[in-house]
Amino acid sequence: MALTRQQIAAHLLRRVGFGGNPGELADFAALDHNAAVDRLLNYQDADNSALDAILAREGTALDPAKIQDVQYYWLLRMIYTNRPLEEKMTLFWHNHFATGYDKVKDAVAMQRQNNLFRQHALDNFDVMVKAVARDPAMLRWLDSNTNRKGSPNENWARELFELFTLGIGNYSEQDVKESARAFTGWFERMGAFYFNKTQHDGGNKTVLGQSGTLNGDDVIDIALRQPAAGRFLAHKLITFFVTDQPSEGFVSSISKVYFDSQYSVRAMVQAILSSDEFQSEANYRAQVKSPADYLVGMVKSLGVSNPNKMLAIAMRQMGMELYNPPSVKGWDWGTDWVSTNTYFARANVANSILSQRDKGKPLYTDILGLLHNNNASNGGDATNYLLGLLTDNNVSDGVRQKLRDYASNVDLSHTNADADGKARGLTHLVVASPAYQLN
Amino acid sequence: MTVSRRDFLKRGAIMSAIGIGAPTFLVKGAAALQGRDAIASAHAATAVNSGAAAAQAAGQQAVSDHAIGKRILVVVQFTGGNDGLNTVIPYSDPAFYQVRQTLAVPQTQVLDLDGKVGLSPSLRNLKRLYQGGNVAVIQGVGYPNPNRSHFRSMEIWQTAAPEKAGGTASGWLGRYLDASAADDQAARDAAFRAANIGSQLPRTFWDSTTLVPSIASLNSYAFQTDTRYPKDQSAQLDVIEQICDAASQHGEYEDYIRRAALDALGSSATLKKIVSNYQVKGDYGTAAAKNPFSDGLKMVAQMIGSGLETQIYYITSGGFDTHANEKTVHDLLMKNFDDAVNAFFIDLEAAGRTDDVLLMTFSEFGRRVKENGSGGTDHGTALPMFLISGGIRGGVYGNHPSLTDLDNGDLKFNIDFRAVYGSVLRNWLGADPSLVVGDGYPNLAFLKS
Repeated sequence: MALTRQQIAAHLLRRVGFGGNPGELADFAALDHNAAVDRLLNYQDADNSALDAILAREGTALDPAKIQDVQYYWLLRMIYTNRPLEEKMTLFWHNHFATGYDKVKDAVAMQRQNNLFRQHALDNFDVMVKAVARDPAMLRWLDSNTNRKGSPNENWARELFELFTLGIGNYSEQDVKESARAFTGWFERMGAFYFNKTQHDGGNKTVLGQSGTLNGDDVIDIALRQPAAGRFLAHKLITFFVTDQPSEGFVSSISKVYFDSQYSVRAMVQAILSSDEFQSEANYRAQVKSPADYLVGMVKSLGVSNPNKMLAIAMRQMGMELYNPPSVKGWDWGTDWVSTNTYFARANVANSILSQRDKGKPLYTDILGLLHNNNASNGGDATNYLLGLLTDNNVSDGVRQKLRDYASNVDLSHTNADADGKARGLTHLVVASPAYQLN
Repeated sequence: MTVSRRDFLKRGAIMSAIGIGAPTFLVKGAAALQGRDAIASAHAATAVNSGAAAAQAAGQQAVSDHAIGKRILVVVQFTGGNDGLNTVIPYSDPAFYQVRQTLAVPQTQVLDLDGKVGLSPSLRNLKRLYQGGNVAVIQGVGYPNPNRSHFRSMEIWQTAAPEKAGGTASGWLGRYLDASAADDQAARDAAFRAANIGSQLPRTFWDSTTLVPSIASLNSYAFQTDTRYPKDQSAQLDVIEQICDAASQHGEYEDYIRRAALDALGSSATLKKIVSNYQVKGDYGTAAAKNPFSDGLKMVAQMIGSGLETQIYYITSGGFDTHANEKTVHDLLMKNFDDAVNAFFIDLEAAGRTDDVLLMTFSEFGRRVKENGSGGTDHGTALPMFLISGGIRGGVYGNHPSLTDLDNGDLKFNIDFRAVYGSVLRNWLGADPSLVVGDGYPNLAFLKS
């Protein structure tokens, strides 16, 4: 059974952004798929003034030197942006070039790195890698200041090959050693990149078969033209947007786009989103929502108002503290997002949001109002509406019946506290259900 | 975030390959609906089995399976770098009072241990436990080429694999849990074979296929519902369990999630039920003087006291990075630790478990020998570890490192931390340390004979 236009539009908004609110879902379902992809991809044309106004308003109360404030600032972007792909790609790069505040210990540097990821979100990959190689947070993260002529530190050079461009098995230990020399003297000083010429080793090096007095940029150029580089980035993007078990042919076709387009990430993402694989039923609702997908998606879908910093704390509880991935490998996606304690963290974060009944207080949402606006005034209709909004109606009849039974002993057409409590309880059960954890 | 990498998907494949029809999670789910205590009783059986497996792995014959099966290890992590010199004080060495001019505790106030070193005055209960033979002080613990970064050095202590840089090394207790139950699916599935007290699983447990719940509090390790509708809680719990027990629509990922959710719901119910049956006897602090470490240790006492056969607990105490104003901060940290351990021991005594429980402390590093200009100390190297239990031979182990023969201003270690881990694995848990920390480290004979 082929997916409907509505399902593909909802799928696209989940994967390319953090899920659609009811208005966005309707807008995108009215477009054909390629037009929808184009609109998301060409986000530079999208009016983002509403987000800018929110950031200006909220930003005045935030301290750029506090990591929790910086985390919250990014969550605001994810929630209110009109350019979902821009934020999703920024998250992709944060995970790809995973850098952690625990070691960098500089919230301003983390924010600047985040701006860099956003600025180059769909840029050519060589531009991105060369920018990251000079990013102060990254320089500190991978100990670049100790990478000196005569006593190289291999930390950056190793990760450049292993985690950022080629993948393990596509370079030798000798390549790492020689490359580290090429990056000697790439220092961070007072929050800025600084080339310390006296600490740079200008001698001859051989990296991946190429010899010369190579510098860091030369090493990046050499790495990026390896066949493995195209496959590596293709695999990572496909895993992020489509499936963690891509076919050989799919990876090859996207890798070809990488080389044909001179490393254009925009071209690769366009090819991925337009592909048959992206629109196939096998890949529909076949990822586990990351905590960002879960939280931001819930806030958007349910129209949660008055955001506050509790959202940043919630992300940490759910195992995805922004700006603090567990290691340079980034987060382990997929099933690793859900353990016993992070399952409770998800359900309990939802509960604390849904328990807020005072309009004007932080993280308030009016579930009963949402139901009434959509003509759902009994347990059955309320269940159907929420399952449609939150799971594309993808639950078994048995699950639907359990929820209807739960919701049906209170008259939801009223606006009293019992009806309000039941509507909130029903919503809590839906967002805590296994089906809602799927993206 | 790495939680226990409990891979249901692979496990499911293995189970069907060997022809077991009803996967355990379904049994668990059904049990959870019926009475929610099948996990506890299943676990009681596996605790002994895993002890036996561990002893077998160690090739030891004389060790009583029963004794080992009952033993519990509580690892206490002091985060931030504990000032060992202000914890176990080398008060008999005049050099100490030259390098610690404002921070040094006067000789008269030090709680003497062996005529050479003594405890911080804030550790008065620990002193009493020491006099009763319950405390082993392992002096000068560290590792070669010490790293002074919190991040990296903590990684080294948690992984016990200093040679593996970056994100690749697994945690030492993760390796232990896997190695000691390699052929024991039930043990790896047990809900509480090990428990982390806190919100995030430390690296120490990484990559284990054993489920290790992180329990920040009994309150957070539960499916919370709106407190204004207490009566709705059981209705919601019933519905969410039934939903999670229903067949999946979307294949393996949804299957994985519903099994994790069922495990969470079932183990939470078990925990709540048995722990609520146990009232602590010790004093874990009044509301005003509460600290998270004391709260956490109280929960461990409840879990042990109520008979939950968890073998490994892990608990963290933070705030040890005393670059400035160390006197006040460190004294309070020591006092909080001392009071909590005292209360914990009172509970162990009440439960008759003092000989079965070993508490082991560590920190990512000690601090610089010479104090800095801000009334604090900077990152250092070697430091003492405590082993606290009624089942050990108390005393001071090893020599205090020299205060004058230093390595870049820091103490030279005498005992590799992997020797301490290895000895705990071998002597206390009956496991083969070579599977976890490697070979070649001396055994510290700290067990009571």
